[in-house]
Amino acid sequence: MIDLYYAYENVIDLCLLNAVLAFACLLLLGVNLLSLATGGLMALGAYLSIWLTMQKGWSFGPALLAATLLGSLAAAGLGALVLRLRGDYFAMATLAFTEVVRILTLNWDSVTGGALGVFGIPKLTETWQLAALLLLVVYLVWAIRNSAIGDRMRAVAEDELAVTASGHDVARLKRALFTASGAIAGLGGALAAHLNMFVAPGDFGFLRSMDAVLAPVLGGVWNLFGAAIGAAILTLLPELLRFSAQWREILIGAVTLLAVLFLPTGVASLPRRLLRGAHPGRIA
Amino acid sequence: MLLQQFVNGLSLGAVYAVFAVGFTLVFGVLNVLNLSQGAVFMWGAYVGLEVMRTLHLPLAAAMAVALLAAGLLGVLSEWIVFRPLQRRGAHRWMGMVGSLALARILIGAAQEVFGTQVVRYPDGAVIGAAVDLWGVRVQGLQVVALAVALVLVLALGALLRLTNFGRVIRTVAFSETVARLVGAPVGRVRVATFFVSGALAGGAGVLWSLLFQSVSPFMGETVLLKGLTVLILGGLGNVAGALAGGLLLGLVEVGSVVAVGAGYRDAVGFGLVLLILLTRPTGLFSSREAKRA
Amino acid sequence: MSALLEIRRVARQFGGVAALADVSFRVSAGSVVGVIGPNGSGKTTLMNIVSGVDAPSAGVVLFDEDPVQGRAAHALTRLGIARTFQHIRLVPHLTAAQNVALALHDPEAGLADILLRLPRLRRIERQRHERAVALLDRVCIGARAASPAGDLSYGDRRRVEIARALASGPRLLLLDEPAAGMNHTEKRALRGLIAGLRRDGITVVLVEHDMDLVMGVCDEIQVLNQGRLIASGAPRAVRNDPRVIEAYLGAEDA
Repeated sequence: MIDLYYAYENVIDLCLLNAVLAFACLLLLGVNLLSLATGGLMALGAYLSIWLTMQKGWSFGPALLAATLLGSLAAAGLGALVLRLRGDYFAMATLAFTEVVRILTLNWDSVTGGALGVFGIPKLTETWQLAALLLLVVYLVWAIRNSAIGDRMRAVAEDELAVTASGHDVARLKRALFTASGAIAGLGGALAAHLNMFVAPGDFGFLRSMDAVLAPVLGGVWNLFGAAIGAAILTLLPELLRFSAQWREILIGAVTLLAVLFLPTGVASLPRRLLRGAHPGRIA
Repeated sequence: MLLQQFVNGLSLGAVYAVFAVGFTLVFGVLNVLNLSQGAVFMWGAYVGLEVMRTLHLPLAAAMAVALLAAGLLGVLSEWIVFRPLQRRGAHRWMGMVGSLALARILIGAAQEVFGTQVVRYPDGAVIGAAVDLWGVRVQGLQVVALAVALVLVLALGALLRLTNFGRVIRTVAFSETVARLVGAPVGRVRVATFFVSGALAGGAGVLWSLLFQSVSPFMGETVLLKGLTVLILGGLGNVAGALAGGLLLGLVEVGSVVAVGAGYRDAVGFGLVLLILLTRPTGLFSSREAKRA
Repeated sequence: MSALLEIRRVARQFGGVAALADVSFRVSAGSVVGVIGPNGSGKTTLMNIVSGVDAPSAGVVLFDEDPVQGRAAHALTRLGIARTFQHIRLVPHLTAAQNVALALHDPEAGLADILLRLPRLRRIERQRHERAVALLDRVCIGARAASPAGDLSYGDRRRVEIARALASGPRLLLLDEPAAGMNHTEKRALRGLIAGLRRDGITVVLVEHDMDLVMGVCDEIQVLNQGRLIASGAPRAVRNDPRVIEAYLGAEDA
């Protein structure tokens, strides 16, 4: 009985964590940026926090702060380099970043434990922390999207030149959003590491980045909570299909494909419609 | 020693090149990144394997069947992912997400059908012969890989440059709208392009399995990323660039293993990509401006 | 009168093609200057260079005696150069007022105001909305402030774009073919609007094809043909200039 409870608790925690990461990606999708750097940024936060709590005896709070800081700095640095690249190139550059981080962690045995990963991480992450973080992130995204900045973001998604001509530094806006998403990813990585008591480089690769981006795409047709709904779906599906890992993959792929094909987006791009849903009464 | 590594790098690069040419073809003609290409690569390897293992047919037949099957998978991705999205006028990254979803389905299916262990091609397939030239051991297999790569790419080049259909393809590549206006059979071009790129991926899969003696459901993931690297190196949509870029990547990777050890081999390509994106985003070999990304 | 804008020997090459070559003229503060010429004469390229969206291959552009080159487009807008576009650039699913407010920098809510939902946020947003509606009134579509821009007619959307350009408080306004697609009544209203802008002290550079509009409202006209300045002066003089007539007739034959 107790095992069952703990099993559910873990799923809830994962849902909350994935929802947080989904919102980080949502911010970027809102300005048409498909970033696959989430995994790499999470890895940085995860490994730094583990090193601090396990090797340096730091308490959880400061370690989380450090992870958040590293995530923002890395994103700021990466953003300065790659945000000026156009669409496809940007996505590929962020993917290259995640892969480089993964391979570095794979080889830097002394700090990251190499391919075998790190065992015995203290389980410091608690459900209330994740819930509080999710609420905070939802609030922040809501506050921003429902302001002049939100209008500016929607405008950037539609027509960057118009926003530039209106006197705004679009590059700076993108850098700010990217840095914010990096902070969330770094923090998320640290929380993830101290949740499951074990991490390996493979946890934060290509698939992790994709899952983070898929959640808002999946659940997104409704409104701001779409990212959370999508994250919940993506997290719960593997749990529901415990009996076959292969079919789990097939189903996730199929559900994602169906979402991509049949979400009623029309000619408009999805994130704009998704985030436009924050205005009640507007036709989806 | 250096010459040996050069040969090794070339044969590895040949496989990368074949894969990347298919990848870049779809981008060049239809302006989409088909991220299920890696999964198709893997399926090509498995189909070839099954043909040899179960049907006991020789390598050439296995290759032919693999090309066909992979080509059909390529068409599948056009049919269920890219065509509906294009009709809807969806944003570019939807195609990327959609093709990745398809890749996931294909990988899960491969695991289900073929199992998850790493297998290898039967011994009969492996051409054990090796030749010693100027102190370099050149495996028969490496020669075959290089030869097949060259043949496939040259055949594609001939198709594009010398045939009528090739001209139609190039018209569509220039502008799909214009092509429709002049009555070009755009639908057929789309299908043909995806078929060819899928076939190339499958062929690369077979070559890879032979060279490295392994087939697994996850073999496509790294190669997909390598393919992206070559795309950047050679310029998006540039077929000749993909060929040159593929060979270059193979050489660079082998060289890096010699220089810094095997662990960082995969990272070298990505580091190179980042470097190129920052300095010369249109690719090392591209002369025209990347008009589409 | 001082020259608010000076174009000095500006050239722009694209590959082997010279879109602009050795173009020089001055725009006095408070005047309305028309830039005309057949299609492909380089008018929009010139607009892009002045607004900072593009950079010249040679020559300088001086705004209030400061070079425009090296400044980002958004910075130029803040310095007082605003523009509209040949193909209207509005955000369809934002309302007309929201579109105009995009360019409103005063008052502006800070990040703290937005994140902490401070009380002054509501006041600021209300002020912004009022300013946006006032600007829409100025172009005579205040009544449509709450309509999504995508629902508006072509002529109305043009006016919203002009209102947005005015929102940043420009000293120099570049209008790129604002009369395109407008009917007769709307063009007369536009003429009145431009005259009103001049009265308010805003300098206007008007790129247009509609001769009646240009002749009727401009103090001075610059004529471009194939990237070169072929005539310049008062409307009457330019209208009768044989080189100008030939440029247009020649273009018709082509």
